[in-house]
Amino acid sequence: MKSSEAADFTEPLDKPNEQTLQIIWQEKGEPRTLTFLRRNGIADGTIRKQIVPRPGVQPYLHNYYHDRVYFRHDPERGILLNPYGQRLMRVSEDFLVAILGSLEDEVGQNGAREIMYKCGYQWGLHDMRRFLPRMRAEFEAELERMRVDFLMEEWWWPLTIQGWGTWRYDFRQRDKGLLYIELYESAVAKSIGDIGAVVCYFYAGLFASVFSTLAKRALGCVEMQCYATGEEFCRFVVSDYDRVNAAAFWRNEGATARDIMKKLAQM
Amino acid sequence: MINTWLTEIIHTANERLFNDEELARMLSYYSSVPTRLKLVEELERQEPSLTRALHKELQRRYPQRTLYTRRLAQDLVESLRYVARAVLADDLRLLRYRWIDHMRAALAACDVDPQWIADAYAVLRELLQRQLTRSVWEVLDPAWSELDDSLTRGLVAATR
Amino acid sequence: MPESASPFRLKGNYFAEPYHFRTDVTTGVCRTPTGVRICTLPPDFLLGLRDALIYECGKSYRTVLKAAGRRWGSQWIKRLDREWTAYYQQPFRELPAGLIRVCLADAFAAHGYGKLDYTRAEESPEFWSAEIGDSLFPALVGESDRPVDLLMSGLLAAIFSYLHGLTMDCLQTECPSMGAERSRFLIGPAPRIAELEAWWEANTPLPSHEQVLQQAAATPHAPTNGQTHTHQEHHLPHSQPPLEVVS
Repeated sequence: MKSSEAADFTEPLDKPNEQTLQIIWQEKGEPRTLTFLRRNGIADGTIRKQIVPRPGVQPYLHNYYHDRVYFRHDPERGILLNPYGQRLMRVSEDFLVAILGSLEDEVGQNGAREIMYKCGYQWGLHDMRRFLPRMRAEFEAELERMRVDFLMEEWWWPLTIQGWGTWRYDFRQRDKGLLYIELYESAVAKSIGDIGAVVCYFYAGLFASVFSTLAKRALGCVEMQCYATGEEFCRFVVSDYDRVNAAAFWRNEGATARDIMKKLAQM
Repeated sequence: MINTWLTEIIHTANERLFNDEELARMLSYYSSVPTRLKLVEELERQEPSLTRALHKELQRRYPQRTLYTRRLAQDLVESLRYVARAVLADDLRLLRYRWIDHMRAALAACDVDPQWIADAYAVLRELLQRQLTRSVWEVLDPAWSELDDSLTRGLVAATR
Repeated sequence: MPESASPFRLKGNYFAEPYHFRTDVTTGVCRTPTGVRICTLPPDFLLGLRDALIYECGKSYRTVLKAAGRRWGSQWIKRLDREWTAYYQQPFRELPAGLIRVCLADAFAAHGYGKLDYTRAEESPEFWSAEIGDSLFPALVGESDRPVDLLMSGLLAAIFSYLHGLTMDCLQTECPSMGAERSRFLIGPAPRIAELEAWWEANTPLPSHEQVLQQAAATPHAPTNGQTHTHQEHHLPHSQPPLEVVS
């Protein structure tokens, strides 16, 4: 996916219009992305209405939930691939600290936060563009009838194996338009340490774009509490912009995550 | 890091039965495991005395070669751990990726004659000859030959 | 065999251990044996970062990305120095230069950055030519009119600065996104690289790596080195027309 194919350049990076989000759902599957996973001679190429379990050898390897199967390393060329044929790059904590530090130096703290959020947002859009067609191809079924939590876990878990932490999402208030996410072992926050301010902007942008794509409408995400503010884990809220902005405001005023959640429920 | 043949079989088999080929490979491996384990234990046991003996012998035979420091002798003896691991897994790729490729590149980069390292390994082999039984040498031989070949067939593409 | 002040050592590829990068899937944390946390960056993240930087910083995104690479590199090489010093049981910087190069190549390959190689420039020993085969960023970005391997550029500058104990900078001279086979870099003392970069940018078409090396050899530098000038003159940016490169 070349970055030059990103959405219309006049569009703000973190507020795509609904058309863009719809387009992501219609991306055709790229069979090449599943080359490593396909068992030849078993898949018949049809996409069914919903996932049909079948006994015996699966047309695609689904169980790649392990370092040894997920990461494919070619030591001669110095290349690391994931099962979808994408190149990966391993970095230590220094990288995330350096990115944050140099962004702050170059464009100031607010600019740095903007950039990180937008980076996360674009990351999510690029990711979703590949993820949805891949799900369609890998499970040979249309996306509409797939359970949301199944899609969510399938989407998130490569991030787990890549060392970005684990999560829990809470959709109980989705009727009110509020989604809560808990993030454990945030790569960003744990690298930076306790600095008294939230830092997981990459994740916030990522969650915003992923849920925007799933909901097919533009949503925002804000971090309510963070490991870097002294908490045990990070908490995010995904919702429409007024609520997300309000949450950000309350957080800056010093409200705890619980207070914010209470106030949002009353909004 | 690459996966060994055993890991590959287990992961690709997954939802199906092992086929005859895979079964044969695994069975022949399992029958040789006791000997392989014996090799690993023996090498571990010998390591401390081998370092001293190797350094002494190299200084005696090649007194003009300043390459053979005590530290290098220790490095070469410690390399037997990687040989042992490759033998235990019965996968020479482990030895290649951990040791051989790096060694060839380092020798080329530092302009060291690979024959000198081959000579050092030859001395090491002599020292080990007396300690290891014939059945143990049989499992060790493929890895040792791989090591020897990589040093004596010369350096291909000195850049890495 | 050449006499070397640094005795030869051989300890194998530090990273080629079966569980050098081990992820605990219950916590989503990947660590090396020394406890350092490792994160694997997906290409979507890198493209997102590039998009966001271009959007927010415009043309100066290149400076930002290179500065980030440099900052990262200075921490990374310090960490590697500590680990390798413990591994070799002697200061890493005292190892033979060739071995240091092989170790760095191992590090690049293990982390998925591509195949690193570098040599000292024959005619100008204060410069180094480096190249990375199968470098990640050009492979992701595709076509571009300028070199895109900025993180690596900054990384190499930081690594060389640390190892040589002076402020060095790096200029990417060739890039797969511009049609070259691999990413090539020139690394040298920061002021000289700044001059060369200005000269390089002012030329159309952009000079090749060899041409930059020739220019580096031709231009006058610190009075302690008595190099003779060739017929190629050194043009300073902004004051004189771009140099007609003689190949």
